[in-house]
Amino acid sequence: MSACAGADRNELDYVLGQRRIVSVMGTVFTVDVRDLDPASSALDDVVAWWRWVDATFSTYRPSSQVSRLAAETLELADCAPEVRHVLRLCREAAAISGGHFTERYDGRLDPSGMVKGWSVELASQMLRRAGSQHHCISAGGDVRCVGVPAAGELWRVGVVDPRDPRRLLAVVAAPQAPSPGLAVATSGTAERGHHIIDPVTGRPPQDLASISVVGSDLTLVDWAATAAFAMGHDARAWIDAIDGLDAYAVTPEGDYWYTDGFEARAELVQVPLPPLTTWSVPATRRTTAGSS
Amino acid sequence: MNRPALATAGTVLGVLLLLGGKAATSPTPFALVQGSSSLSATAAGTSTGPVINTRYGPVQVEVVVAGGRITDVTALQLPTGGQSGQIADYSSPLLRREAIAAQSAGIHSVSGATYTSQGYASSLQSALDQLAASSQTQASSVAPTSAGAKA
Repeated sequence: MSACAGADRNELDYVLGQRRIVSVMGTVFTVDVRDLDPASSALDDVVAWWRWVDATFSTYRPSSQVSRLAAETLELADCAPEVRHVLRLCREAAAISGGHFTERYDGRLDPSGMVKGWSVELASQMLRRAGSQHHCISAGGDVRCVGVPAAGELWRVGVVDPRDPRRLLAVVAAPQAPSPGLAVATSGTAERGHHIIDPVTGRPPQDLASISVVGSDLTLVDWAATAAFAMGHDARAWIDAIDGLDAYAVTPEGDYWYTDGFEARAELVQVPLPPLTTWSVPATRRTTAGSS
Repeated sequence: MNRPALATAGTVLGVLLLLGGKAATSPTPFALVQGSSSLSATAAGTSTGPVINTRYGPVQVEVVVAGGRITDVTALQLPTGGQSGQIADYSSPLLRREAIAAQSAGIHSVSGATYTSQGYASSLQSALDQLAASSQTQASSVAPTSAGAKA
């Protein structure tokens, strides 16, 4: 799930109001930070981290460590510790999911299903270490919220109807501190076409149009959503058995189910998204060395 | 699931620096921010970004800026349906999020489809760059952040 090779000159890095918006890993990441300057060095570090992750793990860039590892022109021992760490996480995920998660795609090494959620979880940790107690990171449909958007409010994340992206099906609120916050990830055919293959059957999963997994650690939530989508209806019992995770699934026919704990952390809604008219926010482009 | 990544996180920057010297085949991944340019406070106008061909079809946006602020973004071309005129596709996360944040009280983010975002982002950036260039910003004197200007 990475950017097209050579897309560097098109990489976006903007400050819009209190949000930092960057294009990375083939999608757009937004950091909505309420207690740091979105143009501060802490946010610059996060953007640099994601750019480094993209350059290191991209399967679209022949020069990435993962590409060279797959081509056997680089030894695992010579890779960054992060690469070895992520591949370890992938093997754990494969074991926990009964093989429905894999770090291979089409026979080739591809840990993309782990990288995005993991890199966002670490970005949230970087922000917390820099002093931020209140932020919400949205990474192409994966969301990690910490703290609150403002006094007396909660971060609220909408779950989009896979059959009609103008509608929300549920709204999940982030629990306040001392809770570790909220992580939401959605896996489905709508995201990138039929790009998911169930490693167990070797075929695209048919049961579900999408599944959204809710928890507090985006590393786990993200790969669990990928595995759960591959599992289909069997994911209901699987997610129920994992402490701290819940899920909401929609079938291609529009039927849905959710795990036992989902209702307690979400409002089930049928909300049409409002038509876009305008917004008005200051726009500042960030320029980084190495791009353009 | 424990959080084994914690230990790694502490070494992220050190590792980045190390790799900066090691990764010879690509630009250093540790791209330090050197500064920023921005739309000037008087930037105004409409700019059309280039057509970006994504794996799913062409994406093109038009952006309207007034007083240095984005006031509207319209997708001229999108792979899904390809409607022109006012945006009818919410799969671009930036557009969708901003629309929701601005108009649907209390929703801060959404989880769902994302597939045209790269093309969208690229076309938007180019459109904004054109505006910034044509409005002759007072480059170096522009404040590096607009956060303080937020109401």
